[in-house]
Amino acid sequence: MGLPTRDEETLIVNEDEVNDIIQRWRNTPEEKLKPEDYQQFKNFGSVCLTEGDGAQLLKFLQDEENRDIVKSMGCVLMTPLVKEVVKKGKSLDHCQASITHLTMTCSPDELMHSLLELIENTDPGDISETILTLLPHLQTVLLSLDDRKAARLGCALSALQQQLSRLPVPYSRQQEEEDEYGLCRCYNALADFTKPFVEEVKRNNGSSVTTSEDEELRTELLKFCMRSLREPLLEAELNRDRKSSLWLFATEIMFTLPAIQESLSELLLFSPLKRSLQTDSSESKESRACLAYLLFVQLITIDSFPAVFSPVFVLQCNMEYINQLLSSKKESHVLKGLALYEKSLENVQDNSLPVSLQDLKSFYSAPQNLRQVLTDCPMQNLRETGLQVLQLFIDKLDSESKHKFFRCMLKTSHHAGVESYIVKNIRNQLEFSMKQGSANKWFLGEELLPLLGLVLSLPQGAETDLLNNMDKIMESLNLLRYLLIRDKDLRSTIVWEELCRIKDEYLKMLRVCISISRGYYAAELKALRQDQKIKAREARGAARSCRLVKSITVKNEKTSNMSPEVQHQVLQSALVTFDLMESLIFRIEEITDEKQKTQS
Amino acid sequence: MADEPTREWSEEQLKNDDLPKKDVIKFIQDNAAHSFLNEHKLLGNIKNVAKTAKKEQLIVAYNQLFESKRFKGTEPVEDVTEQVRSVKLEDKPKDLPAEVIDEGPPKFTKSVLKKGDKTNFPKKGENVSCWYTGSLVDGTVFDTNIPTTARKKKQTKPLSFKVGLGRVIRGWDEGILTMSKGETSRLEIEPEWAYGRKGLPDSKIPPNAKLIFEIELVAVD
Repeated sequence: MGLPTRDEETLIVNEDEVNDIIQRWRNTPEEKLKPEDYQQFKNFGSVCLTEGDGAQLLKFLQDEENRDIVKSMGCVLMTPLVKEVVKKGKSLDHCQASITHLTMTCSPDELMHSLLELIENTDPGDISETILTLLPHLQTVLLSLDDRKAARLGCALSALQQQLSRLPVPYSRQQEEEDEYGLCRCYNALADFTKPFVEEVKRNNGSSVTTSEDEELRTELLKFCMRSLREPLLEAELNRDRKSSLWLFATEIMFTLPAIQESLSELLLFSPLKRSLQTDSSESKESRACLAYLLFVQLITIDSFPAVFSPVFVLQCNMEYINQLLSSKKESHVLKGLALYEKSLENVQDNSLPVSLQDLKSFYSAPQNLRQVLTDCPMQNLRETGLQVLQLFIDKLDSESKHKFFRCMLKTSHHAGVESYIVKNIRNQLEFSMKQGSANKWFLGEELLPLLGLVLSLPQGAETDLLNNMDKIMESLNLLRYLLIRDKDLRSTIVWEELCRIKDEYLKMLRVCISISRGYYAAELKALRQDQKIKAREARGAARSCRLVKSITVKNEKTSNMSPEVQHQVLQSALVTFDLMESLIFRIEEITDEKQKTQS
Repeated sequence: MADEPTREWSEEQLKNDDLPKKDVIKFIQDNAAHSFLNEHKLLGNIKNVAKTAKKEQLIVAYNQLFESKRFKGTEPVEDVTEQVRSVKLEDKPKDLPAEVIDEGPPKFTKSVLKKGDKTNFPKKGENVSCWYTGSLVDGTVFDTNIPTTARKKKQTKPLSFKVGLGRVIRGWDEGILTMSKGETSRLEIEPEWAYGRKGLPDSKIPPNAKLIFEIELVAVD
């Protein structure tokens, strides 16, 4: 028999007493065993392991005479055994063998209970090692369950994923290769873990009768896939050119879904239409967004996706996911959202999206979210990609749609950079329409003037901050100049007097604004220079008299954090900007006069 | 075809200064074909046209209109198509906007391989289910939902969707509406009603590809 003895608070002193206890246990039916017995048994086991005597423990467990003890109380040893394996203690192999023995001897219910408890109470530092150790045994136990297998599998997967979500997801190639926290290894092990259950579902598909247990199994596996899509896949950098660990995991998930009879077209295109608002949580949307990304952008299993859907319909369905991703503040999300947006737009014919689509909420929100990325996102690469996607979006709209979109952006973006980009696009549309020849009422007809009204306006009238709005104003002046040069093509299609009226009002207001601004900045500059003179004089005085002089300066409110040299530069460049604007206005007036002369 | 308009003014009346240019322009705009107006630069806002066109020109145009008889409604089909295409549609169904009416001929052909019940024809918005195989003109199969074995077919579901709502390529929407339950047909779809100039490269459909689908309409809602 022989378990080593040791001075412990359990009051065991010598080998004989231990043997007595064991003998007593052998003769005690399970229902008569008390909690103290379980505790003592656990202590015996722990002591063995801390002494490095895993072999002894294994021998005890495998002893036929102890079979009943093991059956009743064996599960309490699970925790110390697994901890020993994770620690990579001395008797690793024996411990593994012990665990295996337990999984074959103890009741599956109790085993499940112990294993789940273990998972849920793992120390953060041991998460991946614990899970990697447990998974094969967990699989064995689950497969041996007679009933409620699906529910138990669900609990297990949920607990496992819960723990794994505490680990940081590697983002760069180097991080993934290092896999410092073991996350990648775990997820791939998890995918293997689920395989026999997936196979079971596949087998059940063939039979004509499906039980509720079969349905439940499918459901739990689906939940697992959806959770995985959200975490870790949505956070990971997945690139088909680099088939990393997490890429392989993504592929596993993508293959599991059809295996459990979940059609991707149903999940992505149709269920959102059927689903009620309650079940469509943002978590579920995130999962499907990742799914859409993996399918359409990374092309995983695209060859089995039906090639019959209209690109506009697919775009419309993807808009929801694009919105979800673009409204996130995480780089990994936004990047995927932009890629999905771009891909979905690419398949649509140029100039084809009708204006009615913009009435759909998701369709309206996506460019707004995009604009947010352009104006607020701190990452330059995302802003650059965002701009490309914006242009692509504009290119796909038909004329009326473009018109409406430009109006909308001019009214809602409140950002000079974005506005100037829109004005540039308007000019391009004009140029394009004129080349076309045939009348396009949106850019070469009666609808042009309302649009121009929005372009040729100052948001705060004469008090508009010209520097803040510089981009838009310069672009609008360029457009104006262009219109005047091409007057021949325009006069027959629009009310020219109306355009001239808008132009005159705008330029008048702009002139006033410039003179006010110029006055202000010139005064600031003068004050700055005087300030500098005083300081210089004082400094010379201080140098002469070797005394510390406190200089009294009136701080410029606007530029208080900048050095005087920089302040000077800022003010000077403001004045130069105003000069630029004025020279452009002057040129416009020149052209107007020239045209008037040739007309009469 | 509308009745031919009649001359409102005589030569003398036209030349009279009392007759404003605007009235003549309005008459011509109301009654002449689009192409006629375009050629004579009489399109657009009347005030504007009045500024750029001289009275003599208008009289000439007026007379030419009656000589050539190029009134509204006499244009060749393509022009009509162009005008109809630019009409804005009012109806907005809940999920997708209606397709613009294109008055050209249908861009697909159908040959029935197996007759259906000829009674249950799907209506727009109804759910349909089908097995299909899609191939290119050269015979390459780019897509199918028919599993390889009969056993697997029991396990797989046919493709289901609501027909006639622009969720699938136009050739399918239009084609399936002509099929009855149980029918198997071969649809040859021109690129304009399939994936057009872009194709669908990720699904191995090249640009400007004509697609051939063999479709079995299994169920109609």
